[in-house]
Amino acid sequence: MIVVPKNAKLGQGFSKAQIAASAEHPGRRTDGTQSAASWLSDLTGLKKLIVLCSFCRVKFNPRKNGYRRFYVHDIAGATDGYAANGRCDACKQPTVNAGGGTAFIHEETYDLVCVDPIEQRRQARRRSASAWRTR
Amino acid sequence: MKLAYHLSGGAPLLKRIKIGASFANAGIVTINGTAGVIPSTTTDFADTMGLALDTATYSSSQGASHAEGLVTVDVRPDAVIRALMSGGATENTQLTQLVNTSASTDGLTVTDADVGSADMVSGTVWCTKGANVGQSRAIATHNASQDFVVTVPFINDIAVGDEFLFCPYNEAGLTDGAGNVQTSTLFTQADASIASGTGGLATVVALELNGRGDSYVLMQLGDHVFVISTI
Repeated sequence: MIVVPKNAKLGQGFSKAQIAASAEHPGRRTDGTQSAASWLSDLTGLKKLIVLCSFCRVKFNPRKNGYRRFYVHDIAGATDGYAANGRCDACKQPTVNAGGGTAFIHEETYDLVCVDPIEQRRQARRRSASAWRTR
Repeated sequence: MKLAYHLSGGAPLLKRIKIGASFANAGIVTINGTAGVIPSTTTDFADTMGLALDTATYSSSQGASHAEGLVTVDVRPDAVIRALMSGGATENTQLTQLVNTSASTDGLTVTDADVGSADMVSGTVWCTKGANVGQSRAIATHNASQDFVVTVPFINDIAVGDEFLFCPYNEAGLTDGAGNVQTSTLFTQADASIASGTGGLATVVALELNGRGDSYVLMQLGDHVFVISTI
């Protein structure tokens, strides 16, 4: 066995980024004991966020499972805000290599982590309307 | 806390991360733990991996599903997190409202004993009722339980009865108020009642100054594992 140091200096140890990256969860089992559908069923049962690539997302019905698309405003305008990358929960490919990804979030969690543009516009209109009336 | 946008634009990068403690609520800042990521404390965001986007229950015993022991995190270091300002450690506490008790013809002083004793210098005070509605100023001097003094005057005189709100945050560069945010007890909101310059390391990107229950601080986490390469 040949041992090669991971970093430039011997004894340098691991950076915090390397240690943190080692905590990444492997996702569904690929030893033949767990299908993609079984893994997604586990995730939906726990109301976890789901990441799917462009090939796999057509097989998932978010509405049936109480999910909706995850939205993050893109200030660069490169995406419509509904794009999200990661490792596909079905085929386990990085979504950037599989036509781009889409994340689905449970309805109960959406309001806690997503800034909904329609709700923001509604609130802004309400604030401006009350300002006109009272000030 | 919510994921508002990314400073460089583009889509979030989501990773499944093993947990070392339970995440009771979605929208909590993660930090490094021994077995995996754990929720931040109210005052510490050191070595964060980003914002957790779902919940998870930690267990050290064997379980049927290994989906339970993970949380989804947006690991981009330029993520801007939007936190509702709470007027205390308890979530959804209304911000303290100031009702001016002494006229200020130079537009510099907001007087009310409710300014409290937590040092708000380099925080922000903004007007919600009176001639200066919609204007905000950085707090230059805080005389405990007496008044706030600003450097750049409000455009109009400050009359008795004018209403103001305040927070310990500021978006103007290298001041106390631009560098720290403390969370509420459940880590889901920003505790705006604490002294300016205390709390977890975070750069204030913007402030949404509205009313007592719908004002927000937007921040970027300052000590992210994918930014600072420390051993």
